[in-house]
Amino acid sequence: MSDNEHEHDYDSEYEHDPTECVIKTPDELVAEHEAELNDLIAEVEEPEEIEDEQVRLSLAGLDLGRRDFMKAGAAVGAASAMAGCSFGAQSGDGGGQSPSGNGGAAAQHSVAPGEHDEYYGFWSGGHSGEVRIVGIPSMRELMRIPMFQSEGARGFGHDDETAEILDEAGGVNWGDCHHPILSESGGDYDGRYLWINDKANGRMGRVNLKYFETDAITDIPNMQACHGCAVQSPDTSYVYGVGEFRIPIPNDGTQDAEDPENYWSVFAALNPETMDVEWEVRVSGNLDNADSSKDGKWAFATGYNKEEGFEIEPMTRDDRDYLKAFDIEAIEAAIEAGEAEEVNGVPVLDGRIDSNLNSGADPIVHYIPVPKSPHGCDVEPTGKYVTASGKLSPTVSIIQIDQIKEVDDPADAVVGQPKVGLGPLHTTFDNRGQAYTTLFIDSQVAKWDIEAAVEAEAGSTEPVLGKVDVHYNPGHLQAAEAETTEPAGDWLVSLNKLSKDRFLPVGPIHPDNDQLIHIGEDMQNETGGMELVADEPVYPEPHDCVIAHRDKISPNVVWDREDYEDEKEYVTEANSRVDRVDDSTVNVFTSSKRSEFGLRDFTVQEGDEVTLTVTNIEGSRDIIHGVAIPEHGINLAVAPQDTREVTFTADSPGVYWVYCTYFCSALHLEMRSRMFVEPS
Amino acid sequence: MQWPTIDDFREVRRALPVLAAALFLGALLLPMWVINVHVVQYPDEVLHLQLYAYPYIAGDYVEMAGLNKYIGFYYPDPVYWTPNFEVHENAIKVPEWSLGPLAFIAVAATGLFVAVAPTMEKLKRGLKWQLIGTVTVFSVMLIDIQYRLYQAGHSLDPNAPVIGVEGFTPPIWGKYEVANITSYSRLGLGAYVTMLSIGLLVVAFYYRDSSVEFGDLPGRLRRWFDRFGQDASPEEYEAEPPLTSNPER
Repeated sequence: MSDNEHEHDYDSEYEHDPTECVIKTPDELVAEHEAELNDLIAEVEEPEEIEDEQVRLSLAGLDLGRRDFMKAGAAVGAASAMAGCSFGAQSGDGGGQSPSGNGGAAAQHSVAPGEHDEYYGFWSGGHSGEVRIVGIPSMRELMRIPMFQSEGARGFGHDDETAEILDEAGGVNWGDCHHPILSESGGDYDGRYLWINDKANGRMGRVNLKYFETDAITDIPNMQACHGCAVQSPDTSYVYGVGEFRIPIPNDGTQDAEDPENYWSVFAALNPETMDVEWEVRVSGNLDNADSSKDGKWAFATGYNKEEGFEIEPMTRDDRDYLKAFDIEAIEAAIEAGEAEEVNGVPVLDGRIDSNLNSGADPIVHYIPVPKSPHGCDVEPTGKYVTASGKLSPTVSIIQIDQIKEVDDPADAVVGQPKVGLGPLHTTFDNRGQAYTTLFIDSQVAKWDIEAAVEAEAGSTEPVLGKVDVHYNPGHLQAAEAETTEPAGDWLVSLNKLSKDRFLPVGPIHPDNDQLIHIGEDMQNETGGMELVADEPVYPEPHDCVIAHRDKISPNVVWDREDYEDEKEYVTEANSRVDRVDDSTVNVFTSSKRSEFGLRDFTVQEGDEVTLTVTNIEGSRDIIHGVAIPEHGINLAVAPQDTREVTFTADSPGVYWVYCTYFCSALHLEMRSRMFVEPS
Repeated sequence: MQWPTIDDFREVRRALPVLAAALFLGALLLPMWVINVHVVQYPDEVLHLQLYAYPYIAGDYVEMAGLNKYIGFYYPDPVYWTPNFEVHENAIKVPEWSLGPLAFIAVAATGLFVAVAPTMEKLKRGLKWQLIGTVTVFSVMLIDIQYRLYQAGHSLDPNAPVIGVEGFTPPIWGKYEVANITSYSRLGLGAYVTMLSIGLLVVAFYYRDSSVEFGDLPGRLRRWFDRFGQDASPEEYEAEPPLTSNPER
């Protein structure tokens, strides 16, 4: 269930200034002064950089970004003509300085040391159960956010609060996450939250992007495998999760397991703030991937088991499956009208194909037939069409959203069906009306024109503008900002399932290979201008990612103690102490800073239940202090201004060295305290 | 009725059918047809298939079956023979594959039968008809195989998972592409041995009227080459003394 710890008033989210809470030590003051001096010296010594900036600005005045200029130059082979300019090779790589980030040639993806990437990429960690942050275009992995299992480096699941998140979400210490989705405001990423599904346990987890930390996990009732997920565009009123595996309800052994009628697959809508499941809709067949229309009136999900089979042959038998279109207003009206049945604490509507709610003039779920076993379900940026990628059919079906309610035969809402290649799995978009589809079997990415595909005959290959080989067997792909109404159209990542021979062998379990493809230039060539520029080995197995411009993501780099002041004490050096609650309960409070704990030692009795509360009183970013207690399994990671609690039983008398795990200072090794456990 | 003596088998026209018969039988132990398969997802390896004259496939046949099942392309069902590979219920039926060894055994047996012909007349007749018969058998076999390949490539299982793959005809020799798979078919060693055997039958037929023996063949060969050389480079020939030829019996 949800954990409200880090929920905040929306408007105040970004306004936090990390310097507010900085408490400067003499060391820091000296360091800061030195840094200022260095900056001054740097400015004096490096006039080239200033020149570089001026050139860029003058180009900007021509309504032509430096990057665009370089790209255009490269495209006509005129790059050498600019060799004499100051934005040549020696400074062109420092593109991180310019707002547009990647300077240099079209497919220049390297980011110079010390420079920043232009985009945040949020990666699913697959069955590692985590979320990863990857810089685009460098493809450097920046951080990992553990979600469905405890993890040592960040201490997730080791302190009481995060352990409780895991416990209350079912206590399954593992997850299989596939589809990271970002909260939106006005159809654009707003940098508040990220959600991701847990296919293995029918859950939805949330990352608070103020702290890049998992703050809630919901175990969705009536769902064994939550696969696809999506936020409701444009303002994230709901977070959707879809049930892929059909399961008997109730799943307690009382149902006839051979009767498909007893099996359910539900579409769930969660409240993004409370993380409560607001309603569910039971469907015919099953559900796979999901997306929202840009106006939020529709949600879509593909499915591959219209046959409601239990085994692979019946699942793939028929040549048609359905794209389900959920009419959100109709669903809300039906809930309002009391049409729902409460099942395991959630109101559930019957949205099966022949249900009463679907029989009237205003069905809650429209079943649109598309070639069998469609997989990806993606709404293009203008919101006019939703695509269903064929998987077992070589086509992508294009459904015109405003036709769904107009047509008598649902099949007539399918207005285009280009033949893109074998095994189309997922589709993403640029800002120029073009779509990109992974071809799993062909190991390619196909680029195609959306309107041309609508105009062409079904099954036509004419709309395909080019294909680029990827290595190997791509699943998802995602272009920068592609879920917004204004994709960036410059970078695309193909998340390939297999890497085979692409990297040094590291034993039989291979990394996946996520490949960066530049899509900023449309060209009349074999690839349509797509250019493969980087391989990135990734720990198994990311499925999907989402890429947001760095301007839209602004995490705190130190904690704001006000965010937890009602729940945990901010322990100062002066207030470090041992409070005995009763004969067997003791609370220990200590601060931590370079290079000492507030308590140089503390004493508890054998058998005590000890709650240790540690505050990192540093104000400077990245001065993290860990708290480890040998032989007790205690491992906290406490960031500046953060406070963490952990409860344990001191059941063995003796002396235990409490030490810092993050190398924090020259006296890091000396940063220790002693825990005395006295025999009872 | 007069059986040929051992000495008679020094003659090419009697010995070669025997040798050919042995080679026909030996060919059964060798692959007739090999397919080398290049698949994108197998970047550092080529998958190999070796097909035999009887229902047996060696090499990466399990891996290939795993790839082929997605498009519903199956190894043929030999009906009368339990092959080493798994037979899919929707595979095309090619019962004549089970008879493949019989064809080889039959031409081998005919060769032996002809070789021991009691009279020169019968031997000559035998050599002629055996050659005609053998060529006919293998021609029919080739035509049948190509037809069956066409049939297999155009009988993709409609219940296969992946739809949208067009029918195709794998060639007996050549390159073909299906889905993301590129294959090169070539003849196997067994096929070359078979061709050699037929060649021996041709030589035997060529010398049907002659008692030329194995020992004579090098000289014959040299003379033949020299004649060929004469055509090709007469000035070189003039520099050499003319060769005497062995008298025919």
